[in-house]
Amino acid sequence: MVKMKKILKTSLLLAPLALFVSTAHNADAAMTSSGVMIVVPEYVKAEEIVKKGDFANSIDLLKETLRQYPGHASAYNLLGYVHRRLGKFDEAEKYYNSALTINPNHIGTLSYMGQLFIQTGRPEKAKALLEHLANVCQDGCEELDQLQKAVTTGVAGNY
Amino acid sequence: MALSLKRLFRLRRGAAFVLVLAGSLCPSAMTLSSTVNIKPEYLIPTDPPFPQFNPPSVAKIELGKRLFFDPILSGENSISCASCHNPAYAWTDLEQFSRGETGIPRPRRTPSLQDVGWNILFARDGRVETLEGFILGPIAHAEEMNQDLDLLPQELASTTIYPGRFEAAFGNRTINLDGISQSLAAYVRTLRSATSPFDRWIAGDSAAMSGSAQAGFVLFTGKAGCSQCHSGWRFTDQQFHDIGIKTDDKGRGKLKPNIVYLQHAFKTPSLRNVAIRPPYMHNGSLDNLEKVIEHYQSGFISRPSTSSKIQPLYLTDQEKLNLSEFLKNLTDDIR
Repeated sequence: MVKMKKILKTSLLLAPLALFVSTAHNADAAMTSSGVMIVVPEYVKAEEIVKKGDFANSIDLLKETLRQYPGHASAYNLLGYVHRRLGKFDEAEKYYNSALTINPNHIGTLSYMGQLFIQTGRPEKAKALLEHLANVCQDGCEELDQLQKAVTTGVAGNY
Repeated sequence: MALSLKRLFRLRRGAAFVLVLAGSLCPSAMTLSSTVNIKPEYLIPTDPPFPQFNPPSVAKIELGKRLFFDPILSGENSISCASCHNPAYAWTDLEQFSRGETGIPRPRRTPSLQDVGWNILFARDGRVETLEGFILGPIAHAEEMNQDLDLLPQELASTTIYPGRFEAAFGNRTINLDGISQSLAAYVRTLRSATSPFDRWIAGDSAAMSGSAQAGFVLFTGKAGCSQCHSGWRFTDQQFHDIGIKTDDKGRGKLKPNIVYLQHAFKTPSLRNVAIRPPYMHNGSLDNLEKVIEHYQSGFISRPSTSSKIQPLYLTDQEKLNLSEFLKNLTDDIR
């Protein structure tokens, strides 16, 4: 039990770095306490389900991902997305905040949380995230374009 | 006669009671023998839900109210939200198509704002998911209030009123679009329908509605099938249906082009205060309740998207009158 807690603690400490890397390169992977990058099957499956539009059934898989890897920012990010698509905006915001707590430069979360802010009538907050995202994506990225479009048009996309 | 009908309504202990109408009051009631479950969903709830990111406060609601009635929100300071969402007409107007600041008629009838705090989706096609997310749209729309949102915070900041109001509502004098949308939304959530004769009748006052109106309610929930879509205390299922109105407008179908039944489909509107806010339908094409009933009787268009819930009604003239009478009993007691 003590050993498990120690592993978890180490994992939490390493997670931000791991997920910063994983966000940029391989969002479905997480880093173990020994520094090995592994693919998380539950997260992979959740992504597949979400792509099919079955948002509700992805939630348990994402929570299982987080049970195993509490610092998996992309799992929080995807939980934010599915809750947003389910119309649960308060919950979505909490999950996006959790993702940004782990990785303040999570490109997906910066963009998609901006979509949430547009969707919920908070364009100023969306603009602040857009500025942040522009600094993270200095060479440009799809997520930046998506949020820029939402801020300009005032209409959120289903990203 | 009224007394005999009253006795037919038996209130059971608990939330639900069963209404058995074997009528003796009017011709239509005499021909009816139906059982209707009156569900607790007809009871008016207390307060609407609100998002955690925008909890209401007195100062925020007062600010929203001030903004709602202030023409400063329009580009030329000529119209306010209340110009089209008039409290005298249950927060809509009597125009088939409202005209914004530019005078160009809008393509759809202005919806009522009463009780919108319970909405799941907003606009007649449900294209927006939150009230806060919707509320800046009409302000910015070139054919509605025609306001440049980039300039609006500065314009409000230049007044003697608003910096203090924003400070009271949000803790600082900074005025931004987030605060505008949140305060307006907080106020709009307070726009409630009031108690009507129907509500008093549901609560147990069997004399609150006439026998004709009671018979109309039985039709509404029975033979006429209105409550298939106009369900619950607001009389809406919040779903989208094509009810066979002659129109080129795709409605929800514009957002969901591959779903047949959503073509020409619009959100079921609430019926509270329906009698005082004609004209009806998404395009205001029917100017009184009698025409609405005739539409459902036999006037609708059949096309692939027409809801299967829309069927010819075969109501007698008396039944039509009863149905109309019931709808008029959804008007607030105090206006």
